Amino acid sequence: MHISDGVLSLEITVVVSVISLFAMLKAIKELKNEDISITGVASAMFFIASFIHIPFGITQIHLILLGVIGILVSWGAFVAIFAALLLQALLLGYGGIVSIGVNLFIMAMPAVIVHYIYHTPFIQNLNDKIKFFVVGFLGTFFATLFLTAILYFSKEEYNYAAVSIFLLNIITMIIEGIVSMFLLLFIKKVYPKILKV
Amino acid sequence: MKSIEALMLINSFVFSSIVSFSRVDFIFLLPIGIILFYEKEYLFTIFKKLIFINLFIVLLVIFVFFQNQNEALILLIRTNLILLFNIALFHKSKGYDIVRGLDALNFPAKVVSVFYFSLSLIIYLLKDFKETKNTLKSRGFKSTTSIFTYQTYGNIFGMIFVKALRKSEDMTYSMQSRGFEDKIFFLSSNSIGLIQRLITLSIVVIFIKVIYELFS
Repeated sequence: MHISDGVLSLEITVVVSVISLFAMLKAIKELKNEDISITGVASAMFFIASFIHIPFGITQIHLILLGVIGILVSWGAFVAIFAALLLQALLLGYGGIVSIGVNLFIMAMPAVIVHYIYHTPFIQNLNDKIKFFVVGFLGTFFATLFLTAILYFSKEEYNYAAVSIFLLNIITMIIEGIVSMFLLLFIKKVYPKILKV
Repeated sequence: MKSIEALMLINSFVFSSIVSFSRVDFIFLLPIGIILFYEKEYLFTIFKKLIFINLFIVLLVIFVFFQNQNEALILLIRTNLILLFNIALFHKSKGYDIVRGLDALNFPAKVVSVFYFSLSLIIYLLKDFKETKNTLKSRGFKSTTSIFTYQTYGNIFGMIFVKALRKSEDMTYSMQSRGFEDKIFFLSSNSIGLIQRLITLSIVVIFIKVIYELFS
């Protein structure tokens, strides 16, 4: 899901990074001192998720937990994911320091969108299992959608890759939905106050 | 510029930007050569990491290859130049130097604090996750494509998450008792050495060359 440095065109990188910058400024402004620790937790969870490989057939996938992060920290996802992406770029080589604005948009914006969707009366009236599945599924769905669109519009040569990435990630969306469902059911049982609903 | 960590971050950003958006040139090898010569004892570690990360990039390169072979080759070279430079520059980093660098670059205090919390929790959680994995192994758990496996992973993530929350609350209380509001104060950084000056100089040379070619 991470785009490496050197892949995207200058125009796409600048435009998307500027959007991320404004979102980041909003996130910093709204971040209260007492929410710094939970934002740090969301950031660490995002980082750790890249180390945990979930089996699917002969291959493995890793989770990104964007939906879960979104319902927990809302716009704070921009700060949390920025921290994790920079550490991943410099310590692990995932993504990159120039494409960080683009990767931040791809990962953090879905988290914020899921936050708003989660708080709609329609979703709140759903059964817990379905509601939590939707949270995980939509986080990965929007991230894949943004990744596909950015690759598609960056260079003509990425058209095949963009479409293929979307199709390949449909399975990831479903698995992310299932794992997120169990994760949030666990949190609701053990630490319900954090879900704030 | 007094902080070596801040200079490393700036060097990484400027070099990555130049290589990302300009024509591939042999001169890009200059700063890479300087670091690799300085880090010659760790060449195996650096290249091992580079090969591992290439597994992700090669997939995109293969797709591009079907549409434009020349672009695929340039993409492979460009991404590898950037990766090699950054891996060589940060391969000894434990992450706290990056946080100090951001602090020296005057990033907002709240962002630096989130970095600090995140890094401390990552180290704690990775250790905890290793122990959980060993426990699962000793109980005969085998991960397969099944709902049971996904439920197990969901519960593990949930458990890790709750532990992280409790640990972060403990950290907050301990820091609040020492007067923490939103800013973390760091010890002073190391001074900038000859090798960092040489890397910076080589990047400045590349930058001037790229700008000259752009306007000539």
